[in-house]
Amino acid sequence: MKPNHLRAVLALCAFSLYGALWLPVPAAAHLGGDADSVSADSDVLHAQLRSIPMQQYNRHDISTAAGTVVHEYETRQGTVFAVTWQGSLPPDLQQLFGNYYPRYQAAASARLRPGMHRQLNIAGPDLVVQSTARLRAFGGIAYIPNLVPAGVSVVDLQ
Amino acid sequence: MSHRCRWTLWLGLCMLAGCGGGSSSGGSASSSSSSSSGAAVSNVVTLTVGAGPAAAMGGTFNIPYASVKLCKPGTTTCATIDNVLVDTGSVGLRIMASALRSAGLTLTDMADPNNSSNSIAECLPFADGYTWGPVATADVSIGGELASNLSLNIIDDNSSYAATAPSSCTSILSSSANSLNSVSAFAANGVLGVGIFDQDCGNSCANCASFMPNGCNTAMSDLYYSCNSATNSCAFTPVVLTAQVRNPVALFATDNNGVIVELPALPAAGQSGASGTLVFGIGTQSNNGLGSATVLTTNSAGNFTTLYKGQMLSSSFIDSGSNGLFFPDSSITVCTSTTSSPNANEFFCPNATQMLTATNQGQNGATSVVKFDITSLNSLSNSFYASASIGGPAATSAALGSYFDWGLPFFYGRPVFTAIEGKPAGSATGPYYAY
Repeated sequence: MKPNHLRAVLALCAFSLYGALWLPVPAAAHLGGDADSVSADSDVLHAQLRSIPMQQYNRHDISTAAGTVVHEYETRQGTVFAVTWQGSLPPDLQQLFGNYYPRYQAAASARLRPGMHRQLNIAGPDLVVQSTARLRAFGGIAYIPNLVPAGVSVVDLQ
Repeated sequence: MSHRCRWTLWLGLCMLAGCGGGSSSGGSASSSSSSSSGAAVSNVVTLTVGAGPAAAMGGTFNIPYASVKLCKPGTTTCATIDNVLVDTGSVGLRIMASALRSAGLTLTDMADPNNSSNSIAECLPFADGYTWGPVATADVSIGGELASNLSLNIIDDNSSYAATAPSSCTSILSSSANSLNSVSAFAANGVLGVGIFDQDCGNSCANCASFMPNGCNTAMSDLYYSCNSATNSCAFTPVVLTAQVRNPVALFATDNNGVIVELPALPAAGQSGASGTLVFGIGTQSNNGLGSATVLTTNSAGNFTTLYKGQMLSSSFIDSGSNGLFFPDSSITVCTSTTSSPNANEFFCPNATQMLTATNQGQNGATSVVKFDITSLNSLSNSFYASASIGGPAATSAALGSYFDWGLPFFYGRPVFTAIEGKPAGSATGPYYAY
């Protein structure tokens, strides 16, 4: 069992006691961050966290209070290589993107175009973001191409 | 692509289409005392596909506009705002503060019912940014229909709202910290959202106390805020469904179950512009019957399924606010972005016209085969604002879902019905699309 599972269990316990037993974790990077950053995300999002070991990576499922589901995918080496989200309201992307957020922001602003702004596709060498935004339906995926484990198909990530 | 000459050209088009009536019709708002519907049926308003407001600065196409009249509730103090983008893909009326100011109308911000010294504001997230501004009420007339005391959103593009967008809007709620508070960001003086919902947010924004024992706090992702102008501070707040920004159509006394967008068929090369109608109500008058249209009921998110080249695109929708047909097809060449046109790669640029077929399937099992063409964006004349064959790629993945976004090109040459959730409309009950 990986240490991050213990953390996840702790996080879940802490959450269920409504933060009374919460031990602060460093608010480190998230996309590109380590397992600690997953529980930091969960904390900031005031969400429930569940971690599932998969064959090629660990998947951490975060359900925010607003019902938005976030998945964070962590390599065997302990780095978050992808995050996905789906829900009727968007999650805190600044939190989820961590150090990659400014890059995302710059790329998004360079793509502004007139109209209803319903989809966004950023395909950079070190960051890919695909998102859709419609009222009551927000979804997206962001990943770091060179961190994706061999054999993992990003289009299949939930 | 360059669109420098478009604005001048549109002025000429405007005269032809009669939308100016000889007056100067610059895209900014102006007060108006006359009704534009004349002898026409009262449930109809003119739709114009054209260059949009002057501040749009060109570069746009396939955006349908209408005029909307707003009055201070219960008074005859009114203003008509033109160039409002008609969007079947969203819900609620949103007007740029600058357009209201130009028209000389000041609306009162909605007071927070739980704190009378505060007002209600809304942060609306988009894929590449957010809008911010107060919620206000107005008596809104569109064509001959009236929505009294309508909750609407003023997009604060001129910093007239004392409470500025909080960080939870600019960085947390929005998908990116990019303000879309401008006429140029939308190429419109506002957005008239006449989609399949009654409220823009619904229960997610009405019930946030249900999860948090101490009520709403910053843990909640919500669209609505209670703002204190004096201290320039805002906090998430629930807003009851009836006070949320609402689909104006749902508040009409009659003809309140949906809309029809009617636009003419276009020549293959496209056209300088197009003129059509937005009809209110479905099956309520002699001019809005379903006839033989195929009804595609949707799921609660407003989606149906499109089958395209072996893909089952289960989150598909019809959207007058999308200026192209957006769908996943890696076999069609994508345009090359340039410095002057950084977004070109959001569109297709095939060497030859692609003649394609898809099948739409509603939740009710009804199916409809749609034939459509995709031509190169580069072949669209800079002086043309209407094209039925512009498209672009859509990403698809397990996380993102998969969709076919049937944007405005789909509407040319076929009336498209959009029925509001829970409302009987003709032979079926919304939410549905029909055509």
